[in-house]
Amino acid sequence: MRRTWYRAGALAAGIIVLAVLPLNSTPYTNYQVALVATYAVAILGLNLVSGYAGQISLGQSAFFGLGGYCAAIATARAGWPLPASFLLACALPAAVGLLIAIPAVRLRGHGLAIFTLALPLIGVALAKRFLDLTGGSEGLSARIARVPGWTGLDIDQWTYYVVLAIAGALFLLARNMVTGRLGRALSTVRENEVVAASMGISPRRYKALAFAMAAAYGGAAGWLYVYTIGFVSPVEMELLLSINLLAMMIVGGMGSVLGSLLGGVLYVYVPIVAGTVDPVRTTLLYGAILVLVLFLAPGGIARALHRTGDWLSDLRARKGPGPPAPGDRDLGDDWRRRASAPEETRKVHGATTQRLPRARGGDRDDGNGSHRLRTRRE
Amino acid sequence: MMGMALTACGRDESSGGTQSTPGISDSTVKIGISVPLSGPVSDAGTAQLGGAKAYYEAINAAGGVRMRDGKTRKIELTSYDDGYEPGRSAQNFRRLVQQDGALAVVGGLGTAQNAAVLPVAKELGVPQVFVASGASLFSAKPADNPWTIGWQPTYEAEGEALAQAAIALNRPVTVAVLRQNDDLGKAFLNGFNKGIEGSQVKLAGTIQTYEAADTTVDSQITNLAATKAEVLLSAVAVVRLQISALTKARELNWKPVVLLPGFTQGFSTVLKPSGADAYFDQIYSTGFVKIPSDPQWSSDQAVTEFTGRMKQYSPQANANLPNAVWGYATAATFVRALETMDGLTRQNLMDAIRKLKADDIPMLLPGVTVDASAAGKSPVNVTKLFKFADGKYSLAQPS
Repeated sequence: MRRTWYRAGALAAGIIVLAVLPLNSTPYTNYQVALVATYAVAILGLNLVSGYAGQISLGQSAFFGLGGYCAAIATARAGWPLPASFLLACALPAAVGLLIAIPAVRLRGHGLAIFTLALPLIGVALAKRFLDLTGGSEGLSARIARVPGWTGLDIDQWTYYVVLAIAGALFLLARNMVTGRLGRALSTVRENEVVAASMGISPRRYKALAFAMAAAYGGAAGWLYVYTIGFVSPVEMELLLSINLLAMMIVGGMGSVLGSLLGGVLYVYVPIVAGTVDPVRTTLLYGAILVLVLFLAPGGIARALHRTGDWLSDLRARKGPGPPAPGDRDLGDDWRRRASAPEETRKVHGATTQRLPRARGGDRDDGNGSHRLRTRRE
Repeated sequence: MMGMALTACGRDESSGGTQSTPGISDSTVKIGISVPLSGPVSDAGTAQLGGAKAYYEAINAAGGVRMRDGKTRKIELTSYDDGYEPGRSAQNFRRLVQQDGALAVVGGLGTAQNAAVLPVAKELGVPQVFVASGASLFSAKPADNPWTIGWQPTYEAEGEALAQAAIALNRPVTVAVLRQNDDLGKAFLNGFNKGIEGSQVKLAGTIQTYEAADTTVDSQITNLAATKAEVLLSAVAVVRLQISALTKARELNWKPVVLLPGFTQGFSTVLKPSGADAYFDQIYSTGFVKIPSDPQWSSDQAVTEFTGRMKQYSPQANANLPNAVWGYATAATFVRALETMDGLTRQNLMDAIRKLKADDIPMLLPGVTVDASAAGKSPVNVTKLFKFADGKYSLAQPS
């Protein structure tokens, strides 16, 4: 109970800080935070398909770019209102994603990953080929953000609020989806397709659904990107972005809403920190930071944070059971396994039973604090 | 709502503009640059930055830049990595201007990267000058983009220069064309078409294209070989595909006069691996800077100075990449602009740049000059034709 209050308090404090921040910071900082939110949405989408449904996708940048082009072309060229172009930037990638998913989900294992590898390659080629529509490799300039006069805000402040509001709504939506039926179905599919099928969950249908949702989130992120940066080009579709998003998702925390947010923060700020230390060795430092994080927090930062939080509250509640044993590393998925696929044999977790007595109604490290309440109610 | 209204008044400083002199003090000029120092293009970015740094450091070591107000100022260069991502380039530009207070951003690398910066430069009223890209958009419309200008010759100019090689054959010839299927390839061909206008040179019926992600261009070259054209304009920007193109032509026993773009002209990177150096009788390409490793410049004063300064100030950069030379010569061009500023504002800087003419920028080939006064053209708009013979390129004498 106490932890719920802590969490509510922290959330409220976070919202207040974020609401006040743009009023006193430079436009550079405001755009930077807006970019964090933008990439966090893209990573969240990727997390739906890769983290929750367990299907590695290398195609997120293609949807990101497609959403960006939707924003630039529909609003800047065709003069659509912003809400309409936003819907298009979600719907078109989702439709494309679904279309691609229909054959792709028939592939097992890394088949989907290899299949999705083609998307950025095709996307970049198409974006360069349809010169008249996309502006080719020089890209499309599209300053679509407009400040309503009554706000009295600067353009960067307005952009910040719009992007954070949309990103916040998308995060809330995703949180509600993954903590409900859909989330359980996806993780069942990820853990064992046979079990899922036996429970009436069609693995193919849910994988396709996850893929389409990932695409929609990718498209939405692309729209936010154009709203923030005012530009889109084939570079935004390139495979490298997909790989970077995937890396940030893993470092932030797979199968975690909070992890997606952390991934966005890392994506934007790690290169800057690395560049501050030594601009010439950015690549090396960047790599070193990623390796270090994964070494210290193998399940991603979100999971490590939760484990620390659990440990602290354990420490306070009873007399120090101590930090979790190293064998507990992968416990993060436990709540889902227990909730959704009880039949499944637990392959990796030697320490599970030992910890169970202490677990307060599923109140264990889950990579996403919000699951706990829900699990308890069930 | 009240908070919002409050801040709207509370925040009006530091939005750029022309009235003050941001970035210039009595002893320093602050400038910035955004290049890829990580990611797949980091070599080029590091070289571009290294070249610029080597020149500025050498100028600083000699005291600084003597400007028209009688003061001598040192140059402070701040650089940020953009990973070759347009979004980060745009953000770096804001950071350089709004956090670091740079007077101008000079010599950033990449087409899409700088295209993303262009509207920001316009919004903030801050010079984005001597962009390292062959795309024409940076110099094409000074009236629309008053704060932006390119530097090196455009792809059009390069295509136009290559046309001279075909014309110099002095007989009716047809040219088979292979180009990249995007605006870069189109720009190249447009320039070539402009160059051959009114001459005896005609294009072969079919123009073949490729995608940068293709694995070979065998079928394209087979189609082109079937035209039996006397000249091949192999406007391929990807080294691996240029090797594929030249190898295939050789296998088909097709021996046209070969015209190569600067991207893929290298002896050790393209000609030797494809066996083209020994097979084709005539290979032409273009260039506008002195290549430091070329023996013909081994005793050239500018080249030895360049090599020495690169070693001293930018040892981690690869001085043999063209980007190092570009960065260096770009820095020299910028210093020339500083020397001719009539005041200390950003507007004064742009005015000086739009009037700039110089024929002694180091590392440019003899006959290649800087002329930023020609509206719509890049400051360096002359490219020289090179002929390949005996394992090296040398300036082709117009016949």
